[in-house]
Amino acid sequence: MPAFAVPLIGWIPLINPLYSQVPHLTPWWILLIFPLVLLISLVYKTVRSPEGQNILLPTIWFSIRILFYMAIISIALQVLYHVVTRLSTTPL
Amino acid sequence: MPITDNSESIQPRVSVGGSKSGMGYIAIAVGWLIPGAGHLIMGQRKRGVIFLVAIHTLFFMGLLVGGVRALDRPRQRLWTYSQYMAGWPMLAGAQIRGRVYPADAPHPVGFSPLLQEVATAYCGLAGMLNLLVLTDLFMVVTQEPPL
Repeated sequence: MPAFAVPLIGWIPLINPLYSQVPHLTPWWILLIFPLVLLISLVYKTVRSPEGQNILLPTIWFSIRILFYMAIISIALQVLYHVVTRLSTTPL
Repeated sequence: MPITDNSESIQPRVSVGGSKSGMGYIAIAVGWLIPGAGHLIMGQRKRGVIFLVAIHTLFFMGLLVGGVRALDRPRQRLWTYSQYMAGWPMLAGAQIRGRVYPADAPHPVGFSPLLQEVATAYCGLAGMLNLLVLTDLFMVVTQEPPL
């Protein structure tokens, strides 16, 4: 029996999934995009800044831009999806 | 007009000896193992701390949401490769995952495929960011200081 089998009776953070402990978490998955974008922007802006100075505002602004463009792309794909499905289901 | 000290801004980003002695390449190896540590070794404390905190936070948020099941997924090898770029968290996590959730283990209670995918992406993106950081570190190590 593995050594980790006994503590699995309870929930262990970082080892057991959070969704097994917190029910109805799935509908909120989209909120995970915000820390993801923020951290990616932070690393990117730090890489671009040789001294690592004054990166807070550029990071926030870059995050907003990423989210904005992602929203635009998602809306465009949604429209495309509806157009294609409507055309494909329309009888000739 | 007051005379300002601009010596900080024109100094090389690394010590001169770093690119000559091979210390820089050790920093790259350490930077893979511990994200951000390479920059700390090369004297870039602020950037190193930012990289260290950001990449570890991203990886451990993925672990928090998806647990160690987010790592080393059998049918998602590309994510696994990118996760290994995150260094020690992945090395340790993959070992734990192999013991706690072997390949034939059943799904946990309340299994959520969507959140599991997001968690896998979090850990994979942490590895990709560390690859970006290592690329930056390589540029730092190999660049010649200004005359």
